[in-house]
Amino acid sequence: MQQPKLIPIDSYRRTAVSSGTAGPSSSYSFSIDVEEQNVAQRLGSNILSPAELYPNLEAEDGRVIQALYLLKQCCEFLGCAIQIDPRSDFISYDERMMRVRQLLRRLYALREIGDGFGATINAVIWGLRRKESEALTTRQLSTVVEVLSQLRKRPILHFDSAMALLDQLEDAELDVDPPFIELLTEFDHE
Amino acid sequence: MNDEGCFLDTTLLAEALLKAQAKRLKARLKIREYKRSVLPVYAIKEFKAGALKNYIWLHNRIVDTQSLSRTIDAIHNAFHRPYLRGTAEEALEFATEMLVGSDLSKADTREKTQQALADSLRYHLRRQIDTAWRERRKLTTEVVDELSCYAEAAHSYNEGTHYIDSDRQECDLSDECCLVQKLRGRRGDLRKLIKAISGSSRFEDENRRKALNRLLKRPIKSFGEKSCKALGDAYFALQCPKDCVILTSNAKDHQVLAGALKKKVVRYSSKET
Repeated sequence: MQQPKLIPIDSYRRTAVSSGTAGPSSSYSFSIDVEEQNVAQRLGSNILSPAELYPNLEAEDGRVIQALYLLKQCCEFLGCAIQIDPRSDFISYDERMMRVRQLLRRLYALREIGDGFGATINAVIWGLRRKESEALTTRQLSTVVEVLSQLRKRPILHFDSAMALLDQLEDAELDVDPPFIELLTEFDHE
Repeated sequence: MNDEGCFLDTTLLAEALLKAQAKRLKARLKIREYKRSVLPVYAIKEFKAGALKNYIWLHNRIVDTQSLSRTIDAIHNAFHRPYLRGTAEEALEFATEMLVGSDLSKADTREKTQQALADSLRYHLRRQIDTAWRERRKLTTEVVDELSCYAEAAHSYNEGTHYIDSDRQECDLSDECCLVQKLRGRRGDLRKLIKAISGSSRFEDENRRKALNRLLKRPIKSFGEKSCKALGDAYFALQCPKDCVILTSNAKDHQVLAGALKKKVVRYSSKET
């Protein structure tokens, strides 16, 4: 039986970048999968495709790629917001936060990626909402960046793993409860 | 720090585990005011069969309807909350704007907007339910009175259907409820409790009287799941340690029974500062 041809992963990157196939997303970890696929097609070899390697991948690749791009943008805007002192320039600070909220809504629309992803974005949306009328502290902003960065590293995460990220948000005193929750859960506690 | 201990009842356990973040933290702070805090497994059993069961029902309803409006209708029907629709409207409008955005909601279908709201609630409830169960034994300095016939089985999440299954509610009774062994010898206390609620025509007091009477009869016959449930507040009055107070958000019901055994009840309210 013919052995599959092994190619170091760095040479994939070089091939893809030099041939211009990697595109703007080459900085993400998923781009390696795309490049692997391209190289596999070119070589026509026994290299496994991502779908073969990860048969249980829940989301379509397109959604994950879009999510990773939006998460990167979110982190960048939050990074800018951290640099601004809202007491001296609230408008510039709030402009960044408005963009973040807009991006989060687009991310929420991609929640079919998985329940862990959806739950985390949902919690960040509500966490930021509670502080809408006032500026978040640097610690809170940094925590949101940290959480979104972790999600960027691992967008397809199990709901139970997302719980740790939500705990992080709560530890930073961000209130992640949806606003209508109390209305719906005022059952007679026995 | 309060030198006396507190004996948690089910209402306070639900408050500290399931309520919204601010209320939850407040209830936990109240518990921590006591040097010694005691949670009986009976409270966990009642919690699972009551408040937690309601939350699981709500979660599954959301999965079922995939619509917040239809879930509100279901709550209205199940819990007779006629004002819910009106009160919820404003909150839901705001939530729609936050999750879907006012610009996108116009282009989106109503169904999709409802689903976005429903998912938000679903994520939140699933986390609340999981966290509540995980932390049930971590709130107090002690968990006491293990019930040998109660399995304390956890719920499970079905990844395929997205429903939370919590089928195992009943006890594993062989002959009789394990509480019989613990309580049958306390004939004096049992009589005092029966006397304290003798004039009450409330449904739960009538059932409680029957259960207490069963414990007095010899030989004890058919003291099963139903009787165990019926004991309710009487259990807390009987089992609260002498150096503890019963800490509850429903003091009115506890007062009569605990008073009969000269035990103190402390009322907790999340509204008080």
